[in-house]
Amino acid sequence: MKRLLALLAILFFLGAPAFAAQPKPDAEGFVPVSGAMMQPGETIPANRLVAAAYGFIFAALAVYVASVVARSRRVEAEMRELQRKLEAKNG
Amino acid sequence: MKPRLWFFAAVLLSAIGLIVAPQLIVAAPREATMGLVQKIFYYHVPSAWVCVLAAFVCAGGSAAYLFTGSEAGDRVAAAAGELTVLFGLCVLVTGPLWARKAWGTWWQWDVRLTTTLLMWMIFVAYLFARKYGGPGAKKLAAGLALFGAADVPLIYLSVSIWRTIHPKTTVVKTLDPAMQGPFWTAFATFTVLFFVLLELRLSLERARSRLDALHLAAEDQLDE
Repeated sequence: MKRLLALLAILFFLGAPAFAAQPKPDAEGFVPVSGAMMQPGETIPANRLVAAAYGFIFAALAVYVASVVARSRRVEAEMRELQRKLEAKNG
Repeated sequence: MKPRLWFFAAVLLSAIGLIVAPQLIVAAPREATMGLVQKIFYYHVPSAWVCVLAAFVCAGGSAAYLFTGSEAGDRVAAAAGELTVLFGLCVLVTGPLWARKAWGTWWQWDVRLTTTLLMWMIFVAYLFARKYGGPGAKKLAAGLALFGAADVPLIYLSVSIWRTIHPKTTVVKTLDPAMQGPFWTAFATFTVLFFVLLELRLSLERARSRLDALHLAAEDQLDE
């Protein structure tokens, strides 16, 4: 009897992780749709998505060009200031 | 620095392209399954093309800087690195807008999408390393650019190697003739635009180099 109990205990401890690893019954497979699962985004009209995509690209390009121009102006202003200081020093 | 003739021609060409391409895209037929939202394709794919082109140019410049110490290579890499991030952002924003309608979800951890995001993040890290890395960061950043560009072939081949929901690369070859005109016009426009923006950004890098040289000269003279 003791041996049988010991064998059952060993089987229990060995088998427990395997049972624990089993997926829960409702974790996989087909799930019937319910009202709460309907995504409100599905009603987004395509024209808004297309407009957003093209708008974003044009806006990104415009912002980038403006940023490069602003940085260039800053560098040029710094250069002019430095040249002015050098000229003042050299008389 | 005298502005070059090719630069003005390229600016003019890209401006014409940016006016003509949208008109051709509007006139192009709607795709049978996806409908109107498929029109995002005409700017999404050219953005992706310019993004990988910029990544390769950045890697080329970085390799030149790493192995030969070329400062000009480093300047090209810095300019192209920013364009990789810019056009990569366009790809990563327009893709989900298209996917929301076509796949029913904004994002999937699909191989094509994930490798593209990874490449974009590497180039963001490249820019951060250059800006905040301190002394020696240029070399570290150059190494990052090489890793970022190494991701490009994986991005391209991902749709052929793995099962993915992203359209395959053959979609361009099998494009309906009525869709080819708008697509190739947008593709050419973006390619020319890339060189315009690269030259614009390079002129800033060149000005910064001159300013650095001037600072060094000024330090010597003002200390005297």
